[in-house]
Amino acid sequence: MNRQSELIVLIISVVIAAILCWLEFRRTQKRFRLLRMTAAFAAVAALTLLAIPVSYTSLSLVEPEVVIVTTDGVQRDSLATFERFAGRDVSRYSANELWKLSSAAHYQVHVFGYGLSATELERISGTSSIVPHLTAPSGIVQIHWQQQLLQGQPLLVQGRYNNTGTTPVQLQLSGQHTLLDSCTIAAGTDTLFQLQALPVHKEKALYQLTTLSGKDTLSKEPVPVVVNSHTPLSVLILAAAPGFEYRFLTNWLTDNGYSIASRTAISKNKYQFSYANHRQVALEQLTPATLSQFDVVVTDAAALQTAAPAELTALREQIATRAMGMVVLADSSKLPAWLSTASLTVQQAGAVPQNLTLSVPGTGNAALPASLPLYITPSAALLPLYSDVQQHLRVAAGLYGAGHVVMSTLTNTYSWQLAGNQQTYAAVWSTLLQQAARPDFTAQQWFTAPALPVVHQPAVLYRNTTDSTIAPPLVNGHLVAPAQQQLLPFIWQGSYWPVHSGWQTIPAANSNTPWYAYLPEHWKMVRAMEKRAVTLERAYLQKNTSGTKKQPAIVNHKLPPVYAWILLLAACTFLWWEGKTRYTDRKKR
Amino acid sequence: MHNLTPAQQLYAWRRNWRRQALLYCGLLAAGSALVTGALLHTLLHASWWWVVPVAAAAMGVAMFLWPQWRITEKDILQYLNRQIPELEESSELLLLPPDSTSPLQQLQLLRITPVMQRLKPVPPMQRVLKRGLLFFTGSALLCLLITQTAGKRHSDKADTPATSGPVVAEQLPPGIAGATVHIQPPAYTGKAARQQQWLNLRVEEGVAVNWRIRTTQPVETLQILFNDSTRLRFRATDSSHTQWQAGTTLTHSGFYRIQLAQQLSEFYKIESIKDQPPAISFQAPGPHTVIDYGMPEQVGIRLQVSDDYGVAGATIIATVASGSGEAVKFKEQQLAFTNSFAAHDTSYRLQQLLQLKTLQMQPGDELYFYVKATDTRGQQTRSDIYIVTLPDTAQLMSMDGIVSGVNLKPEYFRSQRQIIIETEQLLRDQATMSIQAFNEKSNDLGVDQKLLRLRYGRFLGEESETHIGEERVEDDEHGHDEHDHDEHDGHAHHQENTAKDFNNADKILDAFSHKHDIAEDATFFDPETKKQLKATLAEMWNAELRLRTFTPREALPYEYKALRLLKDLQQKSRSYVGKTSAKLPPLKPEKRLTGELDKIITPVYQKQQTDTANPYTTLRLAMSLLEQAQTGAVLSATDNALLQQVIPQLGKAAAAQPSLYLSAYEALQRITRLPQGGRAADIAVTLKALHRLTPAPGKLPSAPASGGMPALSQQYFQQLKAGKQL
Repeated sequence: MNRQSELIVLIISVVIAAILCWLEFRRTQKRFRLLRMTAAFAAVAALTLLAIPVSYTSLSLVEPEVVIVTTDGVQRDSLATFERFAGRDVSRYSANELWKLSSAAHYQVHVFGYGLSATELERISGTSSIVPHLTAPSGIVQIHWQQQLLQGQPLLVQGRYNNTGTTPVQLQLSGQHTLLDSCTIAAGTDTLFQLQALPVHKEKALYQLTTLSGKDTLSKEPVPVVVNSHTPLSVLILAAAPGFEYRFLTNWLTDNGYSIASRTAISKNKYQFSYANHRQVALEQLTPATLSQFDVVVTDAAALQTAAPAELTALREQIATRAMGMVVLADSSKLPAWLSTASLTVQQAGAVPQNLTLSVPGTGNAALPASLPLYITPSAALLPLYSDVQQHLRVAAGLYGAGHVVMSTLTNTYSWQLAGNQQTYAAVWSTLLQQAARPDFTAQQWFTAPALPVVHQPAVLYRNTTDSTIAPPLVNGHLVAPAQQQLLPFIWQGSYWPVHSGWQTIPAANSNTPWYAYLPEHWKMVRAMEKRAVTLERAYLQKNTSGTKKQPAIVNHKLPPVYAWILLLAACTFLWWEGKTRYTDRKKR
Repeated sequence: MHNLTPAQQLYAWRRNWRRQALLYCGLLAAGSALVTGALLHTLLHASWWWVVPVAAAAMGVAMFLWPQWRITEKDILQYLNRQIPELEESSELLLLPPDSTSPLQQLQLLRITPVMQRLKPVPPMQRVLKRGLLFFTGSALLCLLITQTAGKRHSDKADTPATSGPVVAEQLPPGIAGATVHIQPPAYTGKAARQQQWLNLRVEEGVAVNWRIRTTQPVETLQILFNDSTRLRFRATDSSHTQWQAGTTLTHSGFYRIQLAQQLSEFYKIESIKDQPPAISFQAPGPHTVIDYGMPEQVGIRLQVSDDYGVAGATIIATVASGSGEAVKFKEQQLAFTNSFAAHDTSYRLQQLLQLKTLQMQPGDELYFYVKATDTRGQQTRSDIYIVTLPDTAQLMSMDGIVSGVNLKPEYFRSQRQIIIETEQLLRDQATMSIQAFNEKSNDLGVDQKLLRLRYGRFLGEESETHIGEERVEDDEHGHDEHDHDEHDGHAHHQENTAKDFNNADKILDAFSHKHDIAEDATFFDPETKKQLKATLAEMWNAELRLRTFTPREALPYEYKALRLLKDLQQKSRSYVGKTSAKLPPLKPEKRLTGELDKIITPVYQKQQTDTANPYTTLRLAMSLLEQAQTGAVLSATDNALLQQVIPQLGKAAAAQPSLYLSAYEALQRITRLPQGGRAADIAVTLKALHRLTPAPGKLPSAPASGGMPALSQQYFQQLKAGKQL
């Protein structure tokens, strides 16, 4: 009833009350006049109260209002059961309608489906509680693969599959229209899976992860991969004596385009210098300027022992502060003491040369001819790289300042080249050199958050750099100006909303970082799992808050009309009684 | 109906009932004809038109069986009499002409005519017609059922694939009505000529192929372009220039296309099945055989020779090497197998016994032989070389080359020689000795052999006999006669009984126990030597067995073999250094051993590797470009240029293996010609082929990514360094 009609009703009732009171007043018989006037007034007031309900406010504790929020993947029967159980009329919202919830009120939000994302959860105020009734996503619920690979590095796709069906499911990884790897998930299991392939292409390629159940294809997900070519390293070899190991290493690296400079001691204070793909530099005395040209130094125990103190200082300084790496071919157990600060110590187990078999992951076990049994002492500060089949550590990497020092007790790996086993040789030496090499500080690398960006959804692109003069990049021709983070000023992040699915590029000074934007139907269950995790986390954290208890709130109370009825009834009863007994007095007289 | 006279009524009934009877027969006939026709169609695959004559025949049969269609008025009148009793059996009167009736008949007529008008008989064919209709519907349903089930069975059977012809339908070029290819395999294969209608060829090597092409219209020129840029012109066989013929021999794989005037057809592949050379597999003998003393001087050879088309012949080439040192003489001879190879079978099992005497082999010579097999094409295969040695026992017994070197066990070696000498002497003296003396001597030799075996066995830690109670016996009497046999048995020296050994349980047990193999006593040999030593012991045991059982003649081969093995063992530890004939500059004594290094020039080597491009890099990059084209990206001019570089590589692969790469070669050419990048099917085929063609890349080291080395981490590192001394 709006104010106007209320006013009219009030005026009318005032007028009627006045008229009735006046009539009662005017009655000749004066019995109960005051009471009669009061009764008339009360009756009219009661009628007015009936027409215009009165409400008043008070501060009291109220139960939070129960609402249902449905998201993707809601199970109809559990929702129907809950609604029946909830009884009273519970309002239902979808995930897009969360703006309808008032931010001041307290709700008990029952979430059905896979869950709400982080941005959607922000719309629900902190004092509201969340009761999850989530369905577990079925299918590929977790997935990971390394998107940027180097040449020769295998592609490893790992994830978790939740098979809720009754038939086994087959996962197939295919690339370039060729089936590369597959595995089977049994019915009713939730297991981890791993698929592996060796990319033969360069640059970008799109692999496919297909899920098959019998003859039906359940899903086809894209797995984008970028294979980068190797950045060539500059290697310095300091050898105490000429040997086959250095000869074969130099040949292999030279054939593949790496630049090598080597200094081999052939006699006391007599050296032999050789340069391959490298201009001639003076290596008689190693200075910091000379050393800064190289990424890795390959040397052996004897060379380190016999090096001049000034050279050693320069070498240690380069490794510790400029992150240059060193590979030490430990052919004896006498090592300089400063290597033990990198936790690299070698022990000799006997004087008899013994054959050894190295376990090389990926290419199987590789045998080496007899050499002194030197083992590296395992330590928590060491990264073990290769051990032999008796679990003795043979190659390990340690930290020395900013650089890595890789110690290897394998002194005759050239026998693999002689046997024609190029694969093992390349694998082992790639690991050794890559572990030790100086990182490339000039390359720009962009990361995306979320890890699987979707079209028409914001993707945050961020990079780490201290150079604030880099021009903002163009993503697909659009300028994305990254903002510097306040607390961590080397992180710059910008936001971009991909329009088309597929490869997006960020052209940068010396790299062209590609990233991939997916369609909403790709990796649905992975995103559903993330939503589920976020929702459950929110539900768990709020257990410690007072979200479920009653909250104080200002509540409007309406005066129940029964009081007005009672008043009306009382007034009318009195007036009726009075009317009935009006003439009994005369009779009594 | 009421106005009709009885006669007319009768006529009407006759007409109707006859029709109904015919209809009934028709229904029966139709029903049965339908069912029969359906059965004929499904079982015998007869046409549906057979229903018509079957229906006619069924109609004839039905009309014969149910002759109601032949009813006359008389039958109707009889029927009426039966049906309507009110007619008083006088219905025949109704048919009489009215002027020929008698008064009685007229009276009767007057009585029955109203009856006729009033009462009508029950139509006789109603029920029968109903049955007929039911029968017809039933048979129609049955016919439907039969055809439906037959149809389902047929569709199941139709899923079997066709067995003849190529799986991928090849298209003849436009303008060519038909093509026949006559293939004549080479004569030596023994295969018959064949012909085919499709142009993709899978033929033997060196086959003669003849193309006969029929064009739809007369053309001027028709030729074949092969992948190695050769052309083959067709010749017209008739004046209308529509029949063409060409022939050539094909020796290797490749592909070709037909050029009709200016039009080029698609690529057709030629797969050449190479004639494999014959395969020889030996079953006997092993690579190295030694004919020991006492064994027959022959070698049994067993082998199998097989070829894909036919074996023309096989021979043994044997070389005998006699002499030793620098005066070795070789004599080569060819031996034939006893089998005849005239039949040119594909597989032969050959057996031969080589008598070494016929090859003029003396003790000390060696025979090297191998088998050479030829197939019908003329290709030859040689087997491995097999060696047969005939050892010289005289040389074995000699001491050449042994006294000069330092050896491990000279005295034992001489013992084995001594046993052989004594055994031979015993055999020579057998005639002059008594049997008892012979046996005794033989036993003594056996005991010698046993001791020798035990002495060698000590090195392997094998059992060594002790006489129980030997200790005490020796304490009492130091009889050296027994010591000849029993000294050095197990214990290196006598163990004295001392006071401190009073409680030594082991020592007491030693006197009474018999120790078996003591592995700890074994000398450290490498496994090869151990094996050979064990073999020697086995031979010694065999010799001892025969000596002790008084058959020394049989023991002799084993003794010789043991000696040979021992000699081998002894010579194994020698190392041979080849004589070099290097000329070194003369030494300068005044400069020698002075230790001056200043005259030595520092060697500096410079190498530049310019050609590091991997031939597969273009293939790898091309895969990425094609993937982008697949998603709809337009290829730029540089991308197209890169794809053009891939075409010759694919062409080479297509020439070598056309079944795998030819379709991709064609597809890539189509892709590079179109500006948009081509159809999805073409790109898919090319990607698959490129993936197959490109080998896996080798691992190469690369600088690891730094993630930016942000300033915060650097500051943290500086603080760490300042706090801790590195």
